[in-house]
Amino acid sequence: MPKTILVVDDAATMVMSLKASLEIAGFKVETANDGVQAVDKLKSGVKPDLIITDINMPNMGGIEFIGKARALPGMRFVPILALTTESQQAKRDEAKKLGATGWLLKPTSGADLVKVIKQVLPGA
Amino acid sequence: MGMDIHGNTVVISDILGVEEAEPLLEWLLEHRDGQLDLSACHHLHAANLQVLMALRPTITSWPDDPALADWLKTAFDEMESNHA
Amino acid sequence: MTPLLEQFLSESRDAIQSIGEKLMQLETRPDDQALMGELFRLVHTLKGNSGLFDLPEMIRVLHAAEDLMDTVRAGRATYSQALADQLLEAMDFVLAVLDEIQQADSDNLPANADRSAAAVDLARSLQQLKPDDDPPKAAAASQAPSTGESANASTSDSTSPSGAGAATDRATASAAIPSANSDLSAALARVSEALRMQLYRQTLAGETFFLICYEPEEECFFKGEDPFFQIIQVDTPLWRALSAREPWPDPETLDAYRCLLRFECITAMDRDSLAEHFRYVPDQVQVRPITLASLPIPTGAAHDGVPVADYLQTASEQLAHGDLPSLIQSSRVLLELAAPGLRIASAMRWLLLLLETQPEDQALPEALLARIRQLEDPMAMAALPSDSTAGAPPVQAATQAEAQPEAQPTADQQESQIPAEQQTRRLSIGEPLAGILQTQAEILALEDQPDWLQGRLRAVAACLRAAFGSLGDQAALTTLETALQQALEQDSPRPLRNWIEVQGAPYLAAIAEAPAAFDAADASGLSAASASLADAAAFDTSATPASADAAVRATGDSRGAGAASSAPVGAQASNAAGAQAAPRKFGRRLEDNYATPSAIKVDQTKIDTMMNLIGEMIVAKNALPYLAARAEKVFGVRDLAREIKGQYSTIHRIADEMQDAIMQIRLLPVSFVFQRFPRLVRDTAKKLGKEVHLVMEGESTEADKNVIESLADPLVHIIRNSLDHGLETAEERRVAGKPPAGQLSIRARSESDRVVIEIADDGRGIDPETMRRKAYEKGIIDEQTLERLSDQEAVNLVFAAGFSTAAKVSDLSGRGVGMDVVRNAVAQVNGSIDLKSEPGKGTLLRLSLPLSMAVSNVMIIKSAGQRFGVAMDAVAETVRVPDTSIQTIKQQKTTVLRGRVMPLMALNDLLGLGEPQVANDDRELAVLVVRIENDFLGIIVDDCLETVDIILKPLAGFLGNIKGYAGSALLGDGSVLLVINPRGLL
Repeated sequence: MPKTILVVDDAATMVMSLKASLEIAGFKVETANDGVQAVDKLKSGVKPDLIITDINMPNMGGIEFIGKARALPGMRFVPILALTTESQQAKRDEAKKLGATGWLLKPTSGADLVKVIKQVLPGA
Repeated sequence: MGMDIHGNTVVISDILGVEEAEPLLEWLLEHRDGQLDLSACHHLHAANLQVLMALRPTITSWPDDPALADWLKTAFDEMESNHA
Repeated sequence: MTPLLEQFLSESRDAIQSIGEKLMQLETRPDDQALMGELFRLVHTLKGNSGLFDLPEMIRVLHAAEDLMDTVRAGRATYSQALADQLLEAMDFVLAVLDEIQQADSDNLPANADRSAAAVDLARSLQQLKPDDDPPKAAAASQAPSTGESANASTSDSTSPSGAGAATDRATASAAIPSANSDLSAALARVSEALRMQLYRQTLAGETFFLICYEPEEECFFKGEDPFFQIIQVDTPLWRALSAREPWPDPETLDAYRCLLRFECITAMDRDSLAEHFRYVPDQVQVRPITLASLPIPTGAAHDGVPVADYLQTASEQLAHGDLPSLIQSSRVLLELAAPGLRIASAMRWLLLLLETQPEDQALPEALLARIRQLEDPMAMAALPSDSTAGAPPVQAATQAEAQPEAQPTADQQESQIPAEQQTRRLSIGEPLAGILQTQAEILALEDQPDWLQGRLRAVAACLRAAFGSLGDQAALTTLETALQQALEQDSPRPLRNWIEVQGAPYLAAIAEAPAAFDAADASGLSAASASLADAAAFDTSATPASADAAVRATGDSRGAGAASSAPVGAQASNAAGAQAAPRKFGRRLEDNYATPSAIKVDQTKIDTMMNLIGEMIVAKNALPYLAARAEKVFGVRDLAREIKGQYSTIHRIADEMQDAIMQIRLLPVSFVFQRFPRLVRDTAKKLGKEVHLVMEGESTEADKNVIESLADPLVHIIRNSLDHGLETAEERRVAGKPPAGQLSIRARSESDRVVIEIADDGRGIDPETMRRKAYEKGIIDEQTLERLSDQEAVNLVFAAGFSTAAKVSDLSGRGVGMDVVRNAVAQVNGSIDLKSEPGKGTLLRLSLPLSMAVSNVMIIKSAGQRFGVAMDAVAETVRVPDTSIQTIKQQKTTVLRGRVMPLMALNDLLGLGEPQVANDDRELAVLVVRIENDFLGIIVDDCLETVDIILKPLAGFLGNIKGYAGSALLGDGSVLLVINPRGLL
């Protein structure tokens, strides 16, 4: 059964790129444009095996979203990867503290992406 | 997928997820002489691992996956030596 | 173009647009944190997206911009005009790159020296705006956050909480001694002697092993972590241990989700891979290199009556005198005496191994002897825990040896390694570049002649281009292209190899230096009498990775090499400085370039296709009445004809609505053009040193996309004119009794089927007298006209070709184009422009444009047996003129229409058809009266027919240059109608 990944990013280009890479790797991909949409998705019954979220987003940013997502039923233990850049060390740490499992560095190639996912998601 | 209970034996298949740790713990508490068949297990979450380490059920078969089997055996050996 | 690239271009344009707007808003609200955050996010998103493509220059600039915005957002730098200018310029650059991509239809842009120089230049300018140059270093360090730092943090941490209580207790005896090694020995004591001996031999042979201790934090499961999954992915552990950090609680009270696990293992994975693997949890993982000194730990049961004291006495002397044969002899004797399970037997096995493998080295055997003495001496034994496995305390000699170099900061083995790595990173550009050059040179040196040689050459060139492009080395890039061309032509790697030799020389010199430095370091390490344990350890780490890695690390170790490889960095700096001195050619102002409005998320071509299709459908639909007529007349089926007509009206209605709907899609608010004005006005006013207050209204007024786009250039020109010539400086205004800040207002509104845009300023206005005089001076009007011209007509002279009112030509509005160009541009979309001005009070320009250019109403005329169309907008009226009323004045046919003299021209003459116009039976000529500006002109045709709605398609290809035609259209009967552009004919 393919694993489902929820991709949250306000940059449509990034979402498109991630979605394509992940789908090629055999994942099922759900997308959301910001934290608010992502929380709605999770509430509406989307049960991702992994979440990839951007940090800087309008409406609800990634840090807040991670906190909200962890409080939702069934999301306590889901691996969450924050999508960050090299320079965002502080944001990474904050995300980690608030419940992110790890991070992905932008830009990320398809191969790197899948490698990181395989490292945190057993059976991927 | 996950846990299948056959009488006094739990058969673990594929991946035993983190959410299964509590059911596993409960079952082992209710079946203190319960046994585990791990042959079809590919991975179990660390939460399950520590449940196994704390309750030390009998393992009837180790996983086919050598890396997983080696680590699990180590866990049980370590306990043996600690308790010895 | 790939969908991803399309998406990228469209999203990036949006982002740049928004960035511009936010910067404008910040101008008035520089303290708005939310605005600042938003701005950062936009730049950040832009950079993130561009990282998906191979756009080094763009990323370089955006990275610097993001960095700067981050410091501003964090309050470490303040927002300023200079900063806004710099950011705007950066965005202009990015926009220019986006345009290039759009044009090239690919993200794989050819190298462009101007572009890379501009990028280097811009990035530096942005960096200079930051308060200090600390952050870039931090950024560089965080590029490899795990390798150095984390491993460092966890290793130096090893004494603290987790480091086992016993070790700390023992450490108090010799306070200053780092317990890392003893702690390591304690941990390794659990490893079987056989495995430790194997590790010892392999380490001696140059391999490196690490002991990993991973203690996940208690709440790690709630962060989605699975520590077991992490540790299980560590490559082929040679040894592993799994335990609980504290005794397991009662099963009944066990919390499955409070992680108490401790994982340990020994692996041959290298440090970088380990740091990478555990990058999310560096604080929970200790990675310790297994040193030679930490391995010889005697383990086993305490001895019973083996004569150790005598042995120790002689052994130490023999060792000190280098009498190894005797020492080996006596050790063997002791080994035979002792039962194999005894600790002393283990010690002897180790001693023999040490003597056998490293006969030159005294430190380790001595340390081992000291340890035996300590362990087996009853007095010392009493003070120590009796459990042999937990014991294995550090040997005095060994610890002293360790303590000594401790005074020098780099002596401790683990610490020495890490700063070295960091140092290597700080050398930054030179070394990676040297590596790249070397690799490329190796590739080029391959002697095979594969079919894909050309591809290989291109790949090498691309790599070199990126490398030198990132340095902004323009000269190198130019010669590289030449070299590549030559290589491709000759089908040989030689030109490129030569290029590397020449261009890469300074960089390659650095790397050549490195191995030499390494040798020196190596030699000194050995010659400094490997008597001390620490030296042995240092040798151990620096010598083990015998690969290229060693060279890199060694360069970091040796300061001489460091200096050598910093040379290219300096070279780069001077290069870049040169680039800065040269005027930047690549820079382009935002307002010069109206990129297609990007908020239409549907590809424009798709809408155009729809538009074309509906046009064809309307044409096809129009064939139905012909069909009905044929059905009735030719086939005599009247009923069928009626039904066809019925169907026709239904299709007609639907097609009309559809056309309308599609036209709605094409509607854009004028804000697509307006939104650029705040920036334009700001920049221009700043350059002119004027204060200007901009008012914009009706930005949501909509019109067809083409109309909106055609507005952009005229409006920019008008605004520039207003700012440059219309509005006065604050000083002049004060003198004139006006407020110092001039007002410029741009208002848009709909009026029936037209869009009206008014641009008004409260500047000095246009003086009709001056206009008359200037027009006369320039020979635009003659003396007679000068007298006759009304004030309004005089003012309208600004639209005359070759007229410029400004006394001096400024670089802003005086770009060789005058208002006549504006007028023509507006006329091209069937718009009109008029101007009102009052001296001293200001000027008002009104543009009136059609809402849509999609459907045109044209009149069909006949001339020389052909049918032509003329846009109804241009036709004032049609009249029949008797040939007797036509006079020829100065070879110009004229007639008098309603008391006004009107020039006449024959269409056949204008089109060069070479036939006389045909009059009707009453000898009357059909005349089409067209209005051109405010004058009327009669065009003689053969006949005027009906008017039709057509979809005008501009002539394509070289036909597009023919000014006399506005385009062509398909008629209902399938024939093509050429539509005349009267203005173009003259």
